[in-house]
Amino acid sequence: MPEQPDPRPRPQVAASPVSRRKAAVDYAELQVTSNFSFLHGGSHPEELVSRAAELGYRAVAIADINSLAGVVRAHVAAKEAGIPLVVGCHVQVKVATGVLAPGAPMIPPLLSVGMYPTTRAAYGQLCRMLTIGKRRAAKGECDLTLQDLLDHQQGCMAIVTPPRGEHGSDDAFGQTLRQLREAFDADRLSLRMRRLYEQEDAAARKCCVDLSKRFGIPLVATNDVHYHAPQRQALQDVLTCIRRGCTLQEAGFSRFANAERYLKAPEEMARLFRSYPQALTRTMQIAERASGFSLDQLRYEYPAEICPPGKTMMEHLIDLTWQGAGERYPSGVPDSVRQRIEYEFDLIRDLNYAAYFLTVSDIVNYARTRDILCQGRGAAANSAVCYCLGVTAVDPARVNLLVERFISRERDEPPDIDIDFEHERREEVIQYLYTKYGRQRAALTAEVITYRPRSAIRDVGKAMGLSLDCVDRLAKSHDAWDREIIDERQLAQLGVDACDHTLRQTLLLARELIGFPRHLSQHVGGFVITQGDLCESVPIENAAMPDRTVIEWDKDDIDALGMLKVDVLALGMLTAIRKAIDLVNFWDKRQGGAGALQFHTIPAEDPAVYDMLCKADSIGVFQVESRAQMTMLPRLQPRCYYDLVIEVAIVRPGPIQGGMVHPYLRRRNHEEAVSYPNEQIREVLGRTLGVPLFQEQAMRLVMVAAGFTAGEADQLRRAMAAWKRKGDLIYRFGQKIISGMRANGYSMEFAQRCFEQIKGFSEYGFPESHAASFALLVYVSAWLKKYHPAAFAAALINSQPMGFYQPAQLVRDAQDHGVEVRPIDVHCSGWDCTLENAPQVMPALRLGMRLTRGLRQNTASAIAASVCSHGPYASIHQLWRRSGVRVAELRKLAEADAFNSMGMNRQAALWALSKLRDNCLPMFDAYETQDSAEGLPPFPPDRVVVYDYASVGLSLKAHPVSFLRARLDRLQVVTAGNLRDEKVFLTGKQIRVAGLILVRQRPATASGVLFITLEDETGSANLIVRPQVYEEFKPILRRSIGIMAQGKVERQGQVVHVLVTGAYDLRDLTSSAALVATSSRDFR
Amino acid sequence: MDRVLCIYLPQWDLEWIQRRRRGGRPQTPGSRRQRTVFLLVTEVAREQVVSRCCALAYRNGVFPGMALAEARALCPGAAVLAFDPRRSGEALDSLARWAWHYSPTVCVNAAPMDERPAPTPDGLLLDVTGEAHLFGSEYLLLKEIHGRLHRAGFTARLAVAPTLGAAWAVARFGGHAMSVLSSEHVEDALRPLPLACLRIPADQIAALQQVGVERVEHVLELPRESLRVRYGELILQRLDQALGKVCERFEPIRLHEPLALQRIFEGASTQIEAVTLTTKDLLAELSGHLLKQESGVRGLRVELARVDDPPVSREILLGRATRDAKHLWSLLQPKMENLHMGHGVEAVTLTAFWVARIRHQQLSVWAENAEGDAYEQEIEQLLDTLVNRWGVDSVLEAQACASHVPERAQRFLPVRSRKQSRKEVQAALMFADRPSQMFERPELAQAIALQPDHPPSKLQWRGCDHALTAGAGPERINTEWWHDRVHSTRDYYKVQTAEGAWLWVFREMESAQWFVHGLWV
Repeated sequence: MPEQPDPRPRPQVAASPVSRRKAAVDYAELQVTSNFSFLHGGSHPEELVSRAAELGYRAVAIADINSLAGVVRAHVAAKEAGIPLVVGCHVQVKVATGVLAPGAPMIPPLLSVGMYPTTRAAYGQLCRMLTIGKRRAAKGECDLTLQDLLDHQQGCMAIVTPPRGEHGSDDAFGQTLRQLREAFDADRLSLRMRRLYEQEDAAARKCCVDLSKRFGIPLVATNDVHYHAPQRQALQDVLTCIRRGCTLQEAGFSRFANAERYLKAPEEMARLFRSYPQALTRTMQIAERASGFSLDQLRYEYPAEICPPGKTMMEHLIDLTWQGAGERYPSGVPDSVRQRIEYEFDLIRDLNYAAYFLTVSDIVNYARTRDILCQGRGAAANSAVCYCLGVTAVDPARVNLLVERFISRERDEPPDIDIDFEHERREEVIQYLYTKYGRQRAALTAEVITYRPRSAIRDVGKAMGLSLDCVDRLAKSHDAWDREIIDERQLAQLGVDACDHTLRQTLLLARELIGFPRHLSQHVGGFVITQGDLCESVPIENAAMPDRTVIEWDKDDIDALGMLKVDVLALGMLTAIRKAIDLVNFWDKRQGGAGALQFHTIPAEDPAVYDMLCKADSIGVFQVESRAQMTMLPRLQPRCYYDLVIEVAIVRPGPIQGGMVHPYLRRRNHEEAVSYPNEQIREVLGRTLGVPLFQEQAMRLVMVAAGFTAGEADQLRRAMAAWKRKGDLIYRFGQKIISGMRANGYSMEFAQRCFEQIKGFSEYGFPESHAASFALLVYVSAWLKKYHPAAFAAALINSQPMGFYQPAQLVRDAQDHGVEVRPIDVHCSGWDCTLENAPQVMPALRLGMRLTRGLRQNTASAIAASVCSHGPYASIHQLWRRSGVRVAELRKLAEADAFNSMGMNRQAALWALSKLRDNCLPMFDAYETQDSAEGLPPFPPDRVVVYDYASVGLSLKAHPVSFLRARLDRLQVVTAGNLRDEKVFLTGKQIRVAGLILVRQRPATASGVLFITLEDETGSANLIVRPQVYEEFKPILRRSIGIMAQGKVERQGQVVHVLVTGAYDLRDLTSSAALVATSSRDFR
Repeated sequence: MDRVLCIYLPQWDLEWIQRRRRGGRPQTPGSRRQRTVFLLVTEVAREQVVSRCCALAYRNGVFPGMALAEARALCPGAAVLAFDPRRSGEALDSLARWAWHYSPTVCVNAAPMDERPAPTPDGLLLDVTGEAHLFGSEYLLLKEIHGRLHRAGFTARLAVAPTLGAAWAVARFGGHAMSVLSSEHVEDALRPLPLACLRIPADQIAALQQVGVERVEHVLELPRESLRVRYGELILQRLDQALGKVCERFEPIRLHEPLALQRIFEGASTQIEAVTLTTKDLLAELSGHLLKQESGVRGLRVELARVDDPPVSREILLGRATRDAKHLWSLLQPKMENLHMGHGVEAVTLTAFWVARIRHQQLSVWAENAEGDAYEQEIEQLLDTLVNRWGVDSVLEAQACASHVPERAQRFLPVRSRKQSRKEVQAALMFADRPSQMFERPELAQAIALQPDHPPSKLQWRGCDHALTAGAGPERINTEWWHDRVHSTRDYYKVQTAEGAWLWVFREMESAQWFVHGLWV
């Protein structure tokens, strides 16, 4: 076990030239198990490949167990290191044993066969076989038989490992070998021979030689490589333990006895196999034959059905675009737009992206025919062509978007369009893709789940045999977002012995384990669609979710091979917007209107909408409803669409940590002069007043000022996007950026500042192209909130769970905007919230039964149907008999107090229901004695509210805090409504506020500060809790439902905060039951 | 008229452990201020969950049912103990026996409602009818019990009432730590108490609370028929029991006598044969009793009562429960041989002080298995014999361990501490060809190997030169890196000397030194 961490290069590091040694011996290693054989291999494919190149191997194969997941990484690394890569796979197949010997294991033994395709077709066969095996088995497993192997062996070289022991030609292995020999020929089949210094080495070698002679199969030397360097033995042992769920002490013979399974120098291999030179030359033969296939031969082909026969893709795209343009601009396409479209056509034609646009357009069209709202975003989405195709709704005539900002000619990679769909209906789109292209041709991309500090320390700790308690403490000391394992100094603070040998080894190994792949998961929505069978390019496996299939490669792999991916994502706000528009149209039609509101016809740039946003009146509005955004809105004062784009992007960890927010605000409010070092910089940063706010700007900046090439800038972008996985990569660019800028004559101070800002982006930067699409949804949702508050609130509640706020706050906000909200009622409510006639101009909002805790949707529909056909019921008994709904379900409605229109409150309804029994026959109904609710004790109003909260999550009767008001007044507690009064409550004034905790937020950017939003019957108040105060009042702040807080007022313009100095649990103040059963949402 | 005394111990599960940790000493007034937070945890679905917490923890925001990790965050430095309901219950059983001081009729009692976490016994019931005068008054009796429990470190709430239900309810939910209820005040005392005092299931309580029925008085207001239709008989029965309209009894705990058999001689005997024969008889009789009880002995004592001398006794302990009289005798016999009969033995007593259950086993049909069983049994019997001769720690057995490192491939442990199954041992043994004799410490030797990776050809060991005629290897073994700071790799060879002895030698790669580690004999 090395005491020093092994100074290995981190994978995927920007090209560091590998010094290739010229080995005196020709040798290619063919059996390498990387860490993509999850929990088997102890090194990254990149490490293995570059080490092999260093040692002067003629070629190296990555052959993972039943998987090709690591080959793309190896392929990229091999190209960089200049060593031929042999693509291979270690297939394990079940072999039927002839006679089941007594005492023999019932599971057929597994035969390991290394498969190395020599042609593209053979590779296809291999992928197909793995797909068959994986689709047959549960997720992550592969179930193949010898017959499968024999069916798919054409064109593959194969290496078989004889199992331990003697073998005759009649025994099971002999028979298998004969079968294999028939299929493969001696030409393509080899017998594996190893020298691993194991006890039975000599016997095994003798057995190999015997078999080789008897069957005429050539021998091949391998070293069964599991790690690139012997120092990794420790980690590999730990992986074995993790795999088997045991500790090192218990691992016994499942771990290897020695550290010989590393990449040895070819000369050493030659020495070991000096008696078998033919086994060494055989490695070269196989490698040469296998070099007939390389991953570069995988040609991505767009599916053909997106284009009608007889037309080229481009022609079809042009037709569709002009057709769409006609619809978008009924009064004629403006010249500027026409020009831009023509320009984009050139670009698309040059870069050959037509098929991609058509694919996206096809998906969007499908969604449109099914009335699923969708919107594209991303680099290529904000183009005039996409607008005409209906992929986005960002009108190029309205916003000045330059397309080459999004598609650059230099960056030769597929354009990036993510399409958001309504979250409740995205599955329809996914299944459409599966049915249209077939599971053979379409699949989701994988997401490689890798070890993070927390999981690494947990697993290593367990394997090292630390007590569960200690493992827990170590793991808990790492937050989910930590990138590094804690060091020894911090260890001492945890109260564990920092000098302990085992503990130090644990930390060292855990550090090494970070970044190791753990398993494959599915990407959120990245789809790969091909013309030919996808399963001939990459194995496809079952996902954990039913009806989903996933390929083995992740999005970086796909990028590296130039395959196309469409992101089909889910967005809750789209659901809400569609539902709101439907409600508005429905209402409009009932009032005799046309009901023709559409997403695209919502009037643009309405000043009243911006007025509303400037007042931070944004509960429920997409993206700008969080507390941080609500504080920003009055300071930024958005007045146009592009302001919203900035608003969306500015309240992000990137700009906040990069220190961009305040300079931007100062410049915007004309408190600071806007200046640029030169004209080039003005071009890049002009739109954002000289402060880089978007990822694209950061990239342009390094190109313009630091002399980066487009490719380098792109690497920087990847480094920024992938900070989670590749930690410190961004710092490597730092030096380059600063020196580049200095060389171009910029001041050191400017260069430093730019780098700080770019570093900020590595935390979390927002691309302008995404912000532009999001800003549109901000505007649309704000417009709906402004003009149709009832429909908007109803739609948001009907789309739950989504967004920041719960139905209680949404209802409250609607009431504040003059909407009459009516309670759930069996006679009036459906499953969803609806609009009803009201005395005012505005419709009233009727809460839907979906808010009732635990109620099933079909109950609600059964009741609604029964009420519709029968009319109002006089008693619960009648309703129960007629609708056939079970008593338990009716109870849930009674708990929600939904029988008021029958003249029964909750108490009466529950009393009546408690008598009904589902299995009781109707013939006894005649004997039903009416016993009233007399004799029941009176129900106090605060308890009524408690039960409202318990069942519905809100109460229209009273706010829980209102029952405490008399008591709170005596304690001189201020209401949230009064707190807004800027004359009385000046900054620095000591006050007390009390209320329910709506949201607790502890953003990573705020260095431990906790933000709490309190709500009382008059409104909400914002609290800020400093870490030391938090520590002091932790039990209260962590768990309480409602608190009374003491603190100082802080004012910033219209925004009021309370800087908390003390907190008290409201339950301690009162015996009133009104403070149970409400809950808050915690965001971190 | 009945008088029932209920002792409710709300913190029993914690407090008996705290008392045990104090070493049974009473709480001194100075240490009243509790510093450490005590948490009892159970594992629920692979997660550690707090099942009991002390008052201090509760003040810090911990409550039963909370995840341990969260409780730890609220109370750093808490003493966390595993909650063992069985031991807790046993401890309460012994408290119940202590309560025999106050009444012959005592039972251990728990909340009957279905709670989460599951209820464990947390109280005692005593029938104290007609004994108040022994203590002056019922109140003084309560004070006496309360005082004693308090000094022992237990929080207790007590009540005496005419019915079990009322005493139970008032002890748990009444306003005072000690209450005495006369029969005319029972209803008044119960009226303001919450429904839970009626010992009805939690879901019924919740259902009643929903319609605003929260206290006993509310229930009393409702028509009995309405209640029966909705909630069944139980609530009415409990109400009647508490109010004394229906009688309720409890099953008291009883003493378990150890299984003992005695034979008294008609006049003292000095003949050893008489004693041994009697003992054998008693053993046979005991075996019959045990058969009926489906149990066997693990600890047996034979005691001889002697004329004018104190009695003498001998004990045997067994590895597993048995009722085989022959086997028991074979163990007892050597111990009894040297017993001094004194002036004569008056009686022989055989006491099975440790009885364990033996499940009925079906006889094996296949002879092969039966043989295996018999073999196993014989081994066990042999081990019993050896252990009873030399003591538990003196009989060791070699156990195979799955480890590549030869030194760690076996260890000696007392036979009775064996945990490995036979299969595991075999798996561990099957692995490798290892010498039949291994040296405790590898012995330094000089050797010459002509080629790297080849067996040596000459060996100088224990002062003799050996020419080596044959050899196999190497087998390379790394030391277990997590144990040893010094990393070492050994290349082992099996070599044969010219004299025909097979040796196991290795070369330590780091030091390039040769060692002999064992031999085949």
